[in-house]
Amino acid sequence: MKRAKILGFTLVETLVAIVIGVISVAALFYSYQIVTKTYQGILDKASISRSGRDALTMIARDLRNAGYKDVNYTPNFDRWIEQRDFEESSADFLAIYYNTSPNDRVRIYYRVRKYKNSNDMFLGRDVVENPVTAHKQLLLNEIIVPYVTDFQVVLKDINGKELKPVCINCNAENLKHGTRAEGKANQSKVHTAEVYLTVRSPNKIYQKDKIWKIINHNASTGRTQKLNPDRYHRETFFTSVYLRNIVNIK
Amino acid sequence: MAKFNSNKGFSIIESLVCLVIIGIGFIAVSQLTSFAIGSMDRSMERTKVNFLSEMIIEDMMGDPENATNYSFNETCTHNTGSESRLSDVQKNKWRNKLKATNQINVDGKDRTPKCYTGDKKQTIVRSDTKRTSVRLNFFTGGLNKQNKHKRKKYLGVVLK
Repeated sequence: MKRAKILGFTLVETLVAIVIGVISVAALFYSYQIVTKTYQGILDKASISRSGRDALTMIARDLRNAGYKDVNYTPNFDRWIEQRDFEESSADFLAIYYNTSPNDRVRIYYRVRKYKNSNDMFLGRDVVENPVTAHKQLLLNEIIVPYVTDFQVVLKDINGKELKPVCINCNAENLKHGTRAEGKANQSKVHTAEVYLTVRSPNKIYQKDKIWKIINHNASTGRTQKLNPDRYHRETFFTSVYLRNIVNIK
Repeated sequence: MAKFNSNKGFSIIESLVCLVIIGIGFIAVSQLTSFAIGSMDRSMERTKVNFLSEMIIEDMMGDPENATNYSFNETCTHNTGSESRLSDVQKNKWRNKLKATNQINVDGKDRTPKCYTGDKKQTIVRSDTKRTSVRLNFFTGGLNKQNKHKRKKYLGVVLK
């Protein structure tokens, strides 16, 4: 019997097929990696956008309420707003006070703090009902923005000039700008609050390290943060609020 | 003896057609990812524009008696003016915030929002004996083929 001429693939055909197969798998793998990385980047940017939007909306709402006094509230009402340089981070600390009922007043703290086992920071919001009284009660203690790089609050008077200090429990850094009495008196001069919030992506997005300098506000204040090069993405959100309740306090 | 089938595998035409189809798939995926990135950037820009427009309205609400001094019409060029009145101070602030001046610097360059031909930030103040109102127009993203603004935001507020 005559043997069949074609028994299978030749060596050359097999090698060509392997090469084409490897190239196809490599292309698929590479594009899968790109798509996954892009998807992660988009998720991270969405997370930054959502965090920034939600936090600034919340802060703006609290700032609009700052200094609101119910007409039937009788206890001493001498605290409306405070801005302090917070020692735990290079960011600011904001305290807002207002009435929520004829008998109750809340104190809201916004401060940037470090996570326990890492150098990453978050923006926390603590709500205390009836502070400085025997009925003091912690209502909320929550993380409102994870991975915060910077949070700055600039309080301005009616002429658009920055007011410093604006505090009652002033720290050493605040007292460089004026006395405690001035800090307390400046509360009633506050007209506008400007808030800067810089949020970092949870994951590394870029292929190469980038050098980040966070200025937020004014380079002349010397608050510029020069960060170590990294591959994270950052966005600054800014809002400005007219403090209608404080302006109307007689 | 059985006759062998002459069709031994794919022809070159079939292989090429297959490669073209796979290539189109890759291009579609890459277009999709770049579109998704662009959408996310636009979403971020809109979030910021919302806060910037709130800033403008809030500043005008803080000085309603002088609302007419707050007329503002800026394109991509922002020239800082004098600061003799509060309205001038506030308008200079708006200019700086719209440019994102002194916020973030990456690899030695200030990161500023993109501004295209046709982009405009405008306040229109109307005042009569009964009330004063302001309308805010934010046009961003440049012009489309019909010469219309790609992204528009309007905000209207009665100040007093």
